[in-house]
Amino acid sequence: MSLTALALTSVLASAAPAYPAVGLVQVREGDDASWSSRNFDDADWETRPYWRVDPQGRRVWIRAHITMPPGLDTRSKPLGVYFFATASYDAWWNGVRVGSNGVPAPNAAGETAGKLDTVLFIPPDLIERDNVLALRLSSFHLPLRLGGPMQGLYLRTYGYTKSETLREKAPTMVAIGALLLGMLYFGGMYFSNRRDRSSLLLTLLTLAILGQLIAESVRAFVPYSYPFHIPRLLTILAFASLASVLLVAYVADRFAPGWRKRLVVAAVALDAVLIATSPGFDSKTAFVIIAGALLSSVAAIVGIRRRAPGARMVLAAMVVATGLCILDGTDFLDRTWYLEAVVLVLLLFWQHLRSVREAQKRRPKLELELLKQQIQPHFLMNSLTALTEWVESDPAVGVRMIEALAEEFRSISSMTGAATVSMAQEIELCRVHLRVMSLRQNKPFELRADTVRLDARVPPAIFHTLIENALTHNHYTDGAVFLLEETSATSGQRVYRLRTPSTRTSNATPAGKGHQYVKARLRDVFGEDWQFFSGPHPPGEWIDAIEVPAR
Amino acid sequence: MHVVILEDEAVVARRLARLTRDILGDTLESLHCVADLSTAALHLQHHRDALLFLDLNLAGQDGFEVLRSALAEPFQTVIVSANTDRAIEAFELGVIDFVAKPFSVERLTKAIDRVRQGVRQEQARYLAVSLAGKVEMIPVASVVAIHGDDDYSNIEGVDGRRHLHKKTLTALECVLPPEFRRVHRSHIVNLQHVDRILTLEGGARVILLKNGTRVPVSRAGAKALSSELI
Repeated sequence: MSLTALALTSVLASAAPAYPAVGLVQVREGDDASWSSRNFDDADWETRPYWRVDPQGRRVWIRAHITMPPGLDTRSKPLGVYFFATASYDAWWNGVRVGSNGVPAPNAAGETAGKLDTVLFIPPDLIERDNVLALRLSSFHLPLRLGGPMQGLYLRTYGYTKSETLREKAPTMVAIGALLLGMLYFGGMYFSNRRDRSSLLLTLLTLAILGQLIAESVRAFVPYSYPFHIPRLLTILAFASLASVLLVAYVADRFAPGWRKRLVVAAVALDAVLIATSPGFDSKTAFVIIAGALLSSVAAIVGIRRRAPGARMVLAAMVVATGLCILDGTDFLDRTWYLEAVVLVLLLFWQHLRSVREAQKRRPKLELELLKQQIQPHFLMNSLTALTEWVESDPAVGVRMIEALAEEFRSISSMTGAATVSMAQEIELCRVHLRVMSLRQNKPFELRADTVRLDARVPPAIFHTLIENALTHNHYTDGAVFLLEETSATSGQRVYRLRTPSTRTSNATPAGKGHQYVKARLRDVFGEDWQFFSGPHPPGEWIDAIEVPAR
Repeated sequence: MHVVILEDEAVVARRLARLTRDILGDTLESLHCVADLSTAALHLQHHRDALLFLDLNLAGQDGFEVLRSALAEPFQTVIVSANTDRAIEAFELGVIDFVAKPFSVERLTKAIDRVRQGVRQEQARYLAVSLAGKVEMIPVASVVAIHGDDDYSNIEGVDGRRHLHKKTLTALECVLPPEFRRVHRSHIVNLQHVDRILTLEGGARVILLKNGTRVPVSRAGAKALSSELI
């Protein structure tokens, strides 16, 4: 059932409740001029509901016997026949020709394609108590075979105007407006920060829903000839599939980055299977949307288990979307889906704003945290005590230590404002810290980082923090060599491994401030798309592993 | 004096050792830098004049656990720490002094002098007692009297319980609040729990505590007390 048809039924039904419904019609393939006459005996024709008549690839007649209820005013409110079908036709009312749509013919060469949605004016003088509507149909120009070429055949008051169509379409216009605004906002976010994949996915998602909505609405505003119906339906399906995959990609990106690839592949595969196996365009479209919502729910559930903020709300939205789609049936695609899409975009919009605001609040806190590391008493006072000792016992070393300390402070203060630094800067910071520690402990400490790409970017001072952690929790009697390695994971992520000699007796991971800082920094830059592991790697080694996107 | 340094910052430990040697000169009998408390106890166990320099931040652990165990030992403890915000807590637990890092030779001399001369810090609110391998903190307010018992001290509580402390009476006296008085070579009483002074037949005097315990008092002790008790 089409959008227009539905709209007409619901609005006109209340205005004129007494119009008879057209259901069963007489059907016959072929052509004969006498079949248009009112009194022709069609008793031996096949009887079936009009929506089961198929004019595709042939010429076919239908005759509808219509009995007018007494007292129905067809003079001041003239009667119209609203006919929506992918077919060309000629029409007769009680044997009098009342109109045509294109030129029906026995073959494609002869047929001129008519419009999809048409209205026939029935002159009041022709209307009697018992009437016959005869239609000669043909449909040779559809590029694909349709399951339901006959979409609607109604009797209503003639003259359903454009302004009424517009009024009907007001919610759709609001939806288009909201989606457009959402798209502009997320697009703007993306162009101001090209690494913001979330915003890119949201931009594309709103664009896909917008495309689907516009392709869907075109019918109400631009009358088109019926062969164009197929490309329009294909366009709607394509946008819906795209929206379904993008929705999964976005929700997975936010809440289950480790599952993103698998979920997106699953969405593409599921959509392909559903498109191949579902009967009509409407069900294909509805099913791909449900598939998208279901797979997004999986990602949201992963997010809930990881305690990601907002995951619950997204799951609720997905469950509601799926539920409405199943409950609403055909209505879903025509109206509910777009209202839902708007609600969803508003929800994501709100969540996005909230996460941006939180990031803004988090940044100064992280900067403060980084500075505090440098002036925390354990580091500062022990360094100064060691320094007084060197100044008194070996002033030359004292001067070296002052230089190293100054360099470390300079290095840290150059990083405080930055969200990311290059690995070159990070390694330099680690090395200058180890120089300070070597002088403080009078033992050699060293960092080797031969396999690390120096131009890659990471949040500031994360490896510095992990090295500091290792120095705090271990007792290195003869100094230590730390190894920082970079490898690529199969998923294309960058993996950094910091290997430190371990003298720890307990295997428990110290969930201290250092780890909190590292995690907060990773979240600040990579959202949920990172992993951090810290634990013993026997014998006598401790591994801190960080996995972040390759970019 | 016997000194042990428990500090995992190598250069800081070296500084403590160097300055301690300078300050104590010939009076330094032994000096060890160690990595844990049990080794420290081993070096200091049998010496009346023993001092531990303790860093509160050892290998990332909370040093107060170590400190409580140290305070139950017979030797005196001086904290050397970067975290001055916990100095009051340390004094309440009964450390003799709290030296903030970084420190000068003058500040370290002052700390060593407190131990050498038995200067009272008077701020302890607890006495650490090791009991079956565990350290129990006894609030000083609940202590009625402390009695000498060879090299140990016998702490008498209001609840009638007795605890053996590894420190001598003299060592404990250095940290106890002013209401605790050494009334006899072998006895310290808490003035809050004194009832009155009795004169026995033959002129000997004893202090009668509120719980009925009688504590011998020296002539000088009785004199000092009676003026204060009236």
